[in-house]
Amino acid sequence: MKNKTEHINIFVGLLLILAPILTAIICLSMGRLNIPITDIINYFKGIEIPAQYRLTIANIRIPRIIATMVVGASLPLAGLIFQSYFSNPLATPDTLGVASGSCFGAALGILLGLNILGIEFTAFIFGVIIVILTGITGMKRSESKQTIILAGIIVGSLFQSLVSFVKFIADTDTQLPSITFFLMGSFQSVGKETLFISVPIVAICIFVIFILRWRINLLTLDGDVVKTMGVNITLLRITVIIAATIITAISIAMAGQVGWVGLIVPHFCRMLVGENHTRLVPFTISIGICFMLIIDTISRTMFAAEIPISVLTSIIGAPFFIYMLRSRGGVKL
Amino acid sequence: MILEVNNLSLSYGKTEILKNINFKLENPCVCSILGPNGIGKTTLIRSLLGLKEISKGSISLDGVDIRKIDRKSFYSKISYVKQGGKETSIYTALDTVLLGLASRINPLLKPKESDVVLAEQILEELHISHLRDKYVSRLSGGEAQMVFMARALVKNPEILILDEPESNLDYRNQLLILEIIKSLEEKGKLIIFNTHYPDHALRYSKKTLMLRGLDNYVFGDTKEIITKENIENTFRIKAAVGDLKDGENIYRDIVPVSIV
Repeated sequence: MKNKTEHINIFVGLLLILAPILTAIICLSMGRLNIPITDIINYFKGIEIPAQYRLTIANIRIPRIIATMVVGASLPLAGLIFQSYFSNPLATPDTLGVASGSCFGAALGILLGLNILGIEFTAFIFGVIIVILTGITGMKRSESKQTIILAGIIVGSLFQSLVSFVKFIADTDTQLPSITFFLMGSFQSVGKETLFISVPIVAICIFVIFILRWRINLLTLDGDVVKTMGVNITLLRITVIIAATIITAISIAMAGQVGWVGLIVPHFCRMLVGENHTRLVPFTISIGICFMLIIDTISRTMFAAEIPISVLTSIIGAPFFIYMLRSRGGVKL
Repeated sequence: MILEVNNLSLSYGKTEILKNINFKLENPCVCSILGPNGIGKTTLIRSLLGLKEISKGSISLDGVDIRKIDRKSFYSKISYVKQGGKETSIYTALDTVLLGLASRINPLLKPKESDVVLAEQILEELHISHLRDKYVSRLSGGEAQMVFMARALVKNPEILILDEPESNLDYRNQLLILEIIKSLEEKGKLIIFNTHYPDHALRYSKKTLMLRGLDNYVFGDTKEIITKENIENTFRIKAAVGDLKDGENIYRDIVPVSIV
């Protein structure tokens, strides 16, 4: 009996690793130029393939696919962490205002003419400021789980006006277009240099959350009760909230604001595997990557012009969320 | 294990809640804390658990001030169960109970097979093995309270502190919880619980602390503390005390009659 469950666990684990890789390979082949899967496999094996294919794969598709995977793993995972941290099923980078804060930070970075590392850093700093502001506004002397979202919306809209202000004072010829395009959200313009900086940082943060995944269960417990468990809960809280904020900020610095994924992917995974974070964390990462890859591939192949990612995620996200609210007797946490 | 409270004062901001409280408990023992709503019962037990800051005086465990004991070792000796219905868990019963072992589990790892066995044993002991894989949020109030008892007991603490454990429960579930408290005393533990039921205190506790506000309290053997007079003074009511005979057994009962 025990052996059987172990076998199932190994099988599921393999599936969670293989699914994003297979999806990535298929998505690599699709685009304005359709590349046969065999040629893609040959490319990775080092076998010579037509130059046009090789250049497309190496310079356009791979950077984009990697960026998509980074964001696909990050935003849902950050959403999951925020939901558990604030014990609120609606907590996501968007609803808590973290996304707005990071957008403001990134826009400010562009305004100041910073390089990509600088932009990621300002995005992170303002993400953290928002977490603290929202936390202070919404958590103080209040047991109500709704307050935190209200606080997030208030703080978020404040920073949205700050973004408008940055746009207002930005140079209309050079900075304004780049800020505007950036905020719309796209994987189109992600350069290789950006990836070299972002991927390792995101990988470390995700790894930290992944190894702490059983402990993350403690975050949802009652405040008094968790203190009597004899673990350093403050250290755990700070570690995971910083990791979640970093991956949110980097995603936004890379691809702009991509809405909804932080909300629907974790909830979809809850429907699949239940509430235990030991299973929820790997499922969220894996399914988040696959979901984002598929969405991005649709966005660049469906019409001649690329559809902004956020448009697609909301079109899929909103109905799914309504379905979940109605069919499962509400979202609980 | 000796729990000693010396000249304890507790306050919220400038408002004093309790003042100069003194009592001493030694295991095995069940001690109940009685008193009107809002008198500071929960505040007092939170201070015993190291969750509420002490304004004056001290609480000590075997002569050592609890503020000087390392958190990990302190919380391996003492456990807490919140008031019935005040807590929920989004996890299954087994996962919930396993969280009670958190301080023993390597921060970077999942619970080991031996931890799972321990959790299963405690579920078995409390006769709730059948709830193992059920979500606590979908259990009845009584079942959920049993799961939280299991989570508190899985680390085998010396002291168990419960905040109104039988509140919001039906007769049978109340007795289940109280019988567990009694059996823990037989195993040599020290149990402290807040309650609104003087008859529960009479039947199950050796010692009673009755709070009336600030430094006005009585503490001692339950039979000497829970008297008609004390109950009437503490709760500002008229009470009737009588013995109920059921075959060979005689049960002492207290019934509130009217408001003074």
